[in-house]
Amino acid sequence: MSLFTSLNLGAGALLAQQAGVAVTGRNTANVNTEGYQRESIDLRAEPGSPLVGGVRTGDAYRSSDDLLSARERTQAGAGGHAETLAASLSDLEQRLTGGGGDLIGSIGDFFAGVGKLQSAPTDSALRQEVVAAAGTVAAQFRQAASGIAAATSEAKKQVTSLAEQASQLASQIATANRALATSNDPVLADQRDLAANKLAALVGGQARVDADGQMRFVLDGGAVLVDGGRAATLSAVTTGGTLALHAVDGVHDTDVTSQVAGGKVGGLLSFRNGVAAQAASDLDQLAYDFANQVNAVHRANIGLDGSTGRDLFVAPGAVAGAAAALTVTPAIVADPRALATRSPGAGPNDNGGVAALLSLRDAAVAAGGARSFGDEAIRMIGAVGSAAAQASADRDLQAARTDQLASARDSVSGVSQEDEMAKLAQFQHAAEAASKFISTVNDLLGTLIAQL
Amino acid sequence: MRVTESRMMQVASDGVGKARDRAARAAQAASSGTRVNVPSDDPAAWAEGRRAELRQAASTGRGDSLGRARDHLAATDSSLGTIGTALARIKELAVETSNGTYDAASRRDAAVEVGQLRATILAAANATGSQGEYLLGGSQAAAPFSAAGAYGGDTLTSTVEVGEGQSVQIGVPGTVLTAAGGTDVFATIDNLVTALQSNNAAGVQAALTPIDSIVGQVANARAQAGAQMSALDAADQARSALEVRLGDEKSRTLDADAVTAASTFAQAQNALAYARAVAGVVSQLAGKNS
Repeated sequence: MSLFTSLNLGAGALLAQQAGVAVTGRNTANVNTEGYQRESIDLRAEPGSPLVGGVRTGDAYRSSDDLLSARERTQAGAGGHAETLAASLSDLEQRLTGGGGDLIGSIGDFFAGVGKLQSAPTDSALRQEVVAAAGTVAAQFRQAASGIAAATSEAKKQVTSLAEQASQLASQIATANRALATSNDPVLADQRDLAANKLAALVGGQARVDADGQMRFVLDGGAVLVDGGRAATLSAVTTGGTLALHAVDGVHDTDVTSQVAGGKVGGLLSFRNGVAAQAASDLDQLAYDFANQVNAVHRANIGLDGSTGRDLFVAPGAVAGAAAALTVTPAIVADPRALATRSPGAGPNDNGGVAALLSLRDAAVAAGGARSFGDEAIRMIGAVGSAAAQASADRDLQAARTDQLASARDSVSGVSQEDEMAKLAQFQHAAEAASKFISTVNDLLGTLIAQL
Repeated sequence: MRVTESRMMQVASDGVGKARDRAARAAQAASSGTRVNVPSDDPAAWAEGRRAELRQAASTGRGDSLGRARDHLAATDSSLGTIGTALARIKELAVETSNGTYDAASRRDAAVEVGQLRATILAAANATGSQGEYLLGGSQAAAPFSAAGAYGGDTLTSTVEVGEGQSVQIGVPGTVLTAAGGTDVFATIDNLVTALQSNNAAGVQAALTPIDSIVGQVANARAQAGAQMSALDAADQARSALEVRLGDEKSRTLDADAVTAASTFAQAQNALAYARAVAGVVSQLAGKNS
């Protein structure tokens, strides 16, 4: 082997160690970069007879585990779902029980007022108290309906915003796919994986890298969001009060609502079209039953002013919207003497109408005859609370699982500064050795040339 | 397993966050004294507590009504007492003047006194309660007895709830003073006055039996009012005991146990301090490695 060949060998070794230093440098520089996966470099000995050959570097490759990545994306979807569902339910619970909201208490106070009126049906102050309490019940129904409407509206806004984010992420994946078709840059692959994880956190689903290196992102129900260089756009659409998610790929417009089971969007859809819709329906039914039952009793009895056949509450036209529209009949608010406290045929001091109203307090006339008004209000609000408690526990569980997977992923792909420092020292010493080799060969050459 | 510095920092930071959250919740429970603020804190306990509150509200209304009903009955008893006292004097006068030793003048004097006692009875029969209601008028709003003693009220009584799912009828209708109640009080007194004014000893004698009857009627009516008052008193006692039980039940389900809450808070504070110390050590380790 000639000295010139040795010089090339030394140069190759120096370049190889420098490449190692560069990879170590890139790892260290990106220690806090989100989605960055630790890179390594292959050093392979050049084949050849003794005293011929050297070292060759391969491309930098990412330290990743495809199975772990898939599990992380699945977990991201579950975690996102649990996060938004828990937050939305907690918000709804606060709207129903906080800020002066006390439907249950108002129902109790109404019947307490009626109870007081038993022994003094002509007392004007007590009659005013009952009318005012009826007004409070109506106001509480309206407030609760408004709270549910606000919570569902907020969920819709979030879905709309998250759908836009999901569309952008899908577009990023498609862009990365197109770039990776002609490039092997690991950073592009990192960015694509990060976008896929974030997209999974938003809409659930799963991503798969095919043999051609292109990533395909598919929703839980099978709809394709990203296929190679093409990505669909997600948008939120309200139809008949129900929120839906549509995927548009330029040609087709597909309702993918039922296919988004996971992710933050899935959690919000579960909330809006599930618990929130049920709460709104239950509230309207309770308001409808309450108004109609009280009105039926009130109509059958007589006020101090001789009026009869009058509703205490403005009769709701239908179950839907009954809570939001509930009000006390204005004529009774204006003159509590119109409150029907006596039975037909009885004198003014009769309290038959009061007793009839009071009998509604504990009667099973709500929820299709299953329970009383107060118990139904407790069940309805309690159901939201139970769902919120369960969602909160699930969120904590999913967070723990996410942590666990993050630790496992970090163990494989994370950058350890200790490891990188060790490698840096290794490559540094190797580069110094290669430099020394080059210097030595150079001296030998110099000696030879001097002797010529 | 490989653990990177950033992962260690993240885990330590998450630990501090969770400890802080637990400490905040423990502080809220310890300072407010309430364990269950919203249904999700403990759905079953919350529902139980709210049901207790509804029963308390019903009991409050019932208590107010019982008080007013009792006042009505007490006033009724007082009126009947006045009537009873007047009738007792009328009976005395009737017994005395039925004696043959009394002359026409004495009987005329007795007639005047009986007339005054009749007026007292009429006023008591038309007495009103604290709400302006006629105590013996049933459900009617007008004075039940005319000057002639005719009854214009009705026999309706009030339905009053005395316990959970229990109601009684309250009130004594003025018919206890009419023929419907046995013997007509005013007619009997009027007959006595007529007999006394006409110096009719036999007529006075004949009035003694119906006078006994109306004295007994009024006594029975008082007993009836008294029995109703006793029932209301017993109901109010039971109601007070129920309210105490409901208050205990509500406190047991919704309130935080002071000792437990303080202990939990102390533990949470210690955990937070420990988490911060661990985070500090991890931060130092991570700094040394960079």
